[in-house]
Amino acid sequence: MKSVQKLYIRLIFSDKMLDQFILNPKTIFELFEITNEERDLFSFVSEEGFKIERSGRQFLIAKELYKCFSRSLEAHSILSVKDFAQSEVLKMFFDSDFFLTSAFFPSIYSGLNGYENIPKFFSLMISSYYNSQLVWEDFSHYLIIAGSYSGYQYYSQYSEGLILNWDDQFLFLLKDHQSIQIPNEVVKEFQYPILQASLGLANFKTT
Amino acid sequence: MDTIKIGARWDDNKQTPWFKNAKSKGLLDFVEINFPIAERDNPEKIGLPMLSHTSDNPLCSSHGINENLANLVKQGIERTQSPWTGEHLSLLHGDHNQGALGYVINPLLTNESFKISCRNIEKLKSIYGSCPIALELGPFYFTHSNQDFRNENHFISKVAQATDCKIILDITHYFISCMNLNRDIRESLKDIDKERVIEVHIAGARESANNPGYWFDSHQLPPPKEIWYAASYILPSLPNVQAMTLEYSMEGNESIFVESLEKINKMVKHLL
Repeated sequence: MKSVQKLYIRLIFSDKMLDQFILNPKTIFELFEITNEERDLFSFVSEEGFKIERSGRQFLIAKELYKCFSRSLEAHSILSVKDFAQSEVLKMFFDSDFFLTSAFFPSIYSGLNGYENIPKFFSLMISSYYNSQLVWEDFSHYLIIAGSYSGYQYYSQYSEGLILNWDDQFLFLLKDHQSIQIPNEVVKEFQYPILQASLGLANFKTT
Repeated sequence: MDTIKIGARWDDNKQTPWFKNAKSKGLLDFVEINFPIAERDNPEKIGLPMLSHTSDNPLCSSHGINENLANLVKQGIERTQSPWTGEHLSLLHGDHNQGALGYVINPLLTNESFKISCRNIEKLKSIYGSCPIALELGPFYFTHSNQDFRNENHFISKVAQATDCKIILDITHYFISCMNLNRDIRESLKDIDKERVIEVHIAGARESANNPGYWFDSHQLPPPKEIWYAASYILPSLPNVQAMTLEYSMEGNESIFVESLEKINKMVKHLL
């Protein structure tokens, strides 16, 4: 049943997987080790309701992510949640391992791993062509809001603001989306966490 | 049905002023807390009895429940002294610990899913202790071949019977499933173990603009007339229902929240 569950979820979110499945179900069944008895369960793939449910689920996630990353996405002419829901970057996210593996940040509500799509999408963005200072700024603001809201230890360090180091420039980000450029020589005077960002840096680091 | 208490779902502190106002108007008897909540959140400030609920535990997952989360919900149950606690019969992920992938995902209706759900619920019961569990379904959009149950209502009833759980009948989800699957609202009720329904939920919904005939759950909208009609038909058929909970998000506005609570109060008063 674990294999059935895994494929079922993949088919809901990944267009690429669904296309491959429609084209050659046998290969996908073999790939996911679905037994002959279980294969008939997947008849729902051709149902209109399944297609509508998938688009609804994808739209919900698009809405959640767009709230956080709207500025980054606007730089790529993605100007609304509707645009985003149809975008290549969202499809790429749903096809990726970032979406289907545990988030590396704890949930702001529970302090437990894996109940957030925002850190997962951030990981995808910074590991791809979409990486930019704006992505880091959007995510930094998310951390600040989470820090002032969550109360969990992990986020509280960001509650008053943080410093973003992008391309050896330091940007002090505060609540309400305010930001101030800080001269490099005085950055040590600021007692705030520093996010080390750069183009091509795949892993999130904080100092 | 001696009395039905009226409540609303509460997710965080931002909602507290709305709840306090509704309480001052005599429209609320309880607050349903959707656990886990942020540490700084303090629903006690509303000053009403609390009911515990969660949407985050994957009761139908072949990877089992999230015990850390279950322990947090248990703390919530103790904190609220909830008479029962709500849980969704759902999946949240494909692999273990992937996290929630955008609201609850329905199980496939097979004997295997049934066994897994029962096993997970028994585990949950051992964590929650004496607090009864009430099971809830999400809205359904499709059926599949080789279903071992007539439909999702049959499935939840059988799981509830096998694990001695209560049921939360979400009228909006029920209505949406009936519309999406071309079912009659009255006819489908026969598959629900009505004796076990202890609570009902009501929320907004909208018909898809691109695919007429298909409906979506929408907590930022007020319940449309179709849902009120379904509620007025369904409620009298539930002999043991004790609570009716409005689900309305802060993305909407307070006047709709209040109007919806007024309608619920009127409906419940009329029925008793």
